[in-house]
Amino acid sequence: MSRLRCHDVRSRVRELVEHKRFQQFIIWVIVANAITLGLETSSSLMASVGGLLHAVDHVMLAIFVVELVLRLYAYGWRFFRDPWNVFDFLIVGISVIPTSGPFSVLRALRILRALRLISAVPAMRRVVSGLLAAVPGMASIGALLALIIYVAAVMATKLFGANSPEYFGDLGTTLFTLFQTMTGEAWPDIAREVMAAAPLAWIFFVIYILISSFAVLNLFIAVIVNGMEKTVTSDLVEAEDRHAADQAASDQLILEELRALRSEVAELRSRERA
Amino acid sequence: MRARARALVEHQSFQRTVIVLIVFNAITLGLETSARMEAEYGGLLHVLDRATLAVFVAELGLRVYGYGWAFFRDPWSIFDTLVIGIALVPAAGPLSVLRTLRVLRVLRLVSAVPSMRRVVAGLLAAVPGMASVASLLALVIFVAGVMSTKLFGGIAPEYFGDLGTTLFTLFQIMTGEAWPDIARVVMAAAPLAWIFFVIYILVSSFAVLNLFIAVVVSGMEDQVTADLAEAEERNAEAQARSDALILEEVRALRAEVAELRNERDS
Repeated sequence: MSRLRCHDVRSRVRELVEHKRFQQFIIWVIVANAITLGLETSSSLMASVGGLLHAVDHVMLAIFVVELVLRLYAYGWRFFRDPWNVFDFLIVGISVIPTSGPFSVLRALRILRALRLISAVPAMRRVVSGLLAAVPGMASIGALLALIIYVAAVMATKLFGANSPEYFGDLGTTLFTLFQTMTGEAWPDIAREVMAAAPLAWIFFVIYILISSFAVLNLFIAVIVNGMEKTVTSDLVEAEDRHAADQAASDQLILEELRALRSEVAELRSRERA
Repeated sequence: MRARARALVEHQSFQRTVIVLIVFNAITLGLETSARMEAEYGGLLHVLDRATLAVFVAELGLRVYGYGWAFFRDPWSIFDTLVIGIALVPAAGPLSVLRTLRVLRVLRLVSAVPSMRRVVAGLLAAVPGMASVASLLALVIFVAGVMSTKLFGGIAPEYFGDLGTTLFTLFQIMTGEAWPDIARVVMAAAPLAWIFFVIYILVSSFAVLNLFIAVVVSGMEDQVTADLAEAEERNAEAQARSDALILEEVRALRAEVAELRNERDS
């Protein structure tokens, strides 16, 4: 009896959570929360209405937590099967962690709550799923690029670490410098400084830039080809299907006619025999 | 009377005259930017400008009269009205910036030349495909903006002092221009800031790349798909014709056999 009632409550909660009004309300809370968090960055506003902003922020966080708990209750363990739900759970979870002491950087991460807009608005969800669909195609080239950067970084740290420690002092610094070089930003400054001490360093820089930009270009192409393939192919497949249906209809007609012809011939033959 | 006004505005030589006037007006507006020309022929240039403006207003009036309310249903007509309306607003006092906007009249060339119209319509057709990715990009920049204002506002106020400054800085980083200067300033105080910069650059450039792709794909789609669909359509037609021929032949054969049977029967 109590199990039955529990089931009843669950389905009603699910109905509430899936109701359009409820979801719209959550979207508005997310947008309002993004605005209040934006306002919190202004020190003059914080000085005058800081308390109010914090109170509003806490109320909104409470709304998010209640919504999450309702959804958890409604779906049970299946809640965690949808990656978007896990995303929501993590983002709301970050905000609930006490933000004092070593965790104070998490205070800045509260704004990640605005990203819940992506999971709450179906159109945004579709865009992000589309973007993520391009990732597997990039994975192999991305891994190759990471390998190239790592090898180049170990090499450069060994070669130039002593000459210009501010760029190539340790592996972490070198990786950052090489990332910068890959984006093409201010790399000649770095190269000239290194080349002042090691004139042949241009070999390293030119080869690294050629290879890494070639790899990046291929990353781009992977993404582009992926995007094109999906849209253009689906359009063409649609047209192809339509024509195949027409073709099948006309084939059917011919087949019918042939069958009739064959039975006609069979009849003729049986008469001949008789 | 209306029909005659419409016939006049739609007449080819009338439209050509308007195009020539727009080009002429563009030249006079260009000459006005030269201080020397302005000093020597300033009066003449202004008079010419006024005269062309008067012609444009008369043309617009004729078109409004000719088409009635239907005039405002065409977005290009609204564009023309706005561009000319700007020139009519008194350009004194606080509205003096509008004087500069007079040159927008030259953009009427776009609405007056059909091939230009088609180009712009094609460009605009790609916009809906970009809208969703663009709003995602805006969301990413806003979130990164609030986060970095909180994190780095104290360290580098010249880049991350308030939300507006930060949004500008992040736009700059997205374009990739001089981002290492900013990153190194911040990293001097917060060594782990590289995490934020690297992730932000990767995510934002991926989103921008996808914006481009959305445009390219929509352009390709129209072009390639139309071409392929046409070829497909042609093939299907040929196939249908040959099928019809086969069907006809089989029917004739069947009739022949039926005849043969009848002959035997009798």
